[in-house]
Amino acid sequence: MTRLHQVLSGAGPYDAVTTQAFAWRELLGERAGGIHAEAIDPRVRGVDPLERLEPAADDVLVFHYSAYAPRLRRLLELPQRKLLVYHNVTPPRYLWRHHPLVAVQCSLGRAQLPTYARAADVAAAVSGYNAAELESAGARDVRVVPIILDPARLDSGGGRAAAGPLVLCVGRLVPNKRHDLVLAAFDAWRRAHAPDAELLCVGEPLGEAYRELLEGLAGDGVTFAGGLRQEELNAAYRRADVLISLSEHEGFCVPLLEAFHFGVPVVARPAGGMREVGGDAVLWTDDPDPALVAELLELAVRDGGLRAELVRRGRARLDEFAPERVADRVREAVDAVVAA
Amino acid sequence: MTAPEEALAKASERAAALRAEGRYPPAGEAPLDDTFIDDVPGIDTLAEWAVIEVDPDVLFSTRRLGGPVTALKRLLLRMMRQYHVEVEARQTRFNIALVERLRLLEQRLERLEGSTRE
Repeated sequence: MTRLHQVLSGAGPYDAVTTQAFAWRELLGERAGGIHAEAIDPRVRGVDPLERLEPAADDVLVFHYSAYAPRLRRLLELPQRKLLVYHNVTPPRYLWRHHPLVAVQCSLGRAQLPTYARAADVAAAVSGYNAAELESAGARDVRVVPIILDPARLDSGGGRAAAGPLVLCVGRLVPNKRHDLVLAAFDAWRRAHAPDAELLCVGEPLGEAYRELLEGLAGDGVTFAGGLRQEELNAAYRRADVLISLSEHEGFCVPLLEAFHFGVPVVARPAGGMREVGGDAVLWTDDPDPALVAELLELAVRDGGLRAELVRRGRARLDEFAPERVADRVREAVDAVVAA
Repeated sequence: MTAPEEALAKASERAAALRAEGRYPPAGEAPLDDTFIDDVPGIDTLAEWAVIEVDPDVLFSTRRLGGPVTALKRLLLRMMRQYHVEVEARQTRFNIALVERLRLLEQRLERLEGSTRE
């Protein structure tokens, strides 16, 4: 039987790409081979080093591409059929000053995308935005296969009410996510309308220096929680009154779907593939002016009718990305590469 | 109730009104705005990057009991300091020489372009 082995540049405990690889493995059932990564965080279980990858001649390699990975690239020379899933690579312009090594990796990662695009028998991307980038890199007939959100993983954990309104911001602490703008908007809202409000930023930092930089910008009421276990993240969503994202670059943005699942209204900037995911269920603003975002937060938290409508629309968006629907797209991509 | 489609205009109006009352500070640049740079950096940025200086604080461990592992890594780094200082110095020497050579080439090119235009 043809087995599908998934290969990633890196596997981390809070990483969306790693989570997807596990979701695909679950979906593929007995056709699933191993998950292999070039760099594996010691906290991750169930992922093997690339050296242990031993595909049979009839097997398929699924490349989840999200970063430069020299050893991953060598796998392109293997004779097995290849399915490329493009999750996007952060433009290095955000990183040169904050983390030169990661900037170099992102620069190389984007530069090498055409090599992967040419080598793939079937190309897929998690959003139309990513698909357009992949087509620019030379891939043809790129399929859009969105992220699988498994609702079962969102069931765990409790949740207790916060003392004041809670604003949640979920995403790695990296410059393109623009936490500096989130901090400014939250501070403006707190001063103008909500002195007891709290902001909880969930996500692992790019590095200690960057975390310290953000902590230096933060005013009162802000907590940087780092990466949270799933049940802790679920509890945070249950407590939250609104989710905020002022990111400038997103290939998909899983937190939008998570917020819809928990019935949390969203205020966000429509970066990259976000509008495809959020549709009409988000209070979008292209302008990150702190005063404007603060007023959107005020509406999202205090206007009961608006909140109810956003929650209703969020549920409809969630239906669009229902696991059964996405599973069909995954199966179509898999069938296409198996038939190649 | 505000319809989602009306929210942005309403928020914008309120933000302007409250800003006029002094309840919001004037709009300005965000802290990180000037830290993002083009993917082909200018010569001054290259000159700044030419000097290799790595903060030992970048060494840390995310493992369980990461504290002692971090301390061990930093101890090893200190023990190897003589070697690393030499490597940094040689790399910095090369980088600076290369950037200066590039600067000279740019100046020559500018002169040549100027004389061609004349």
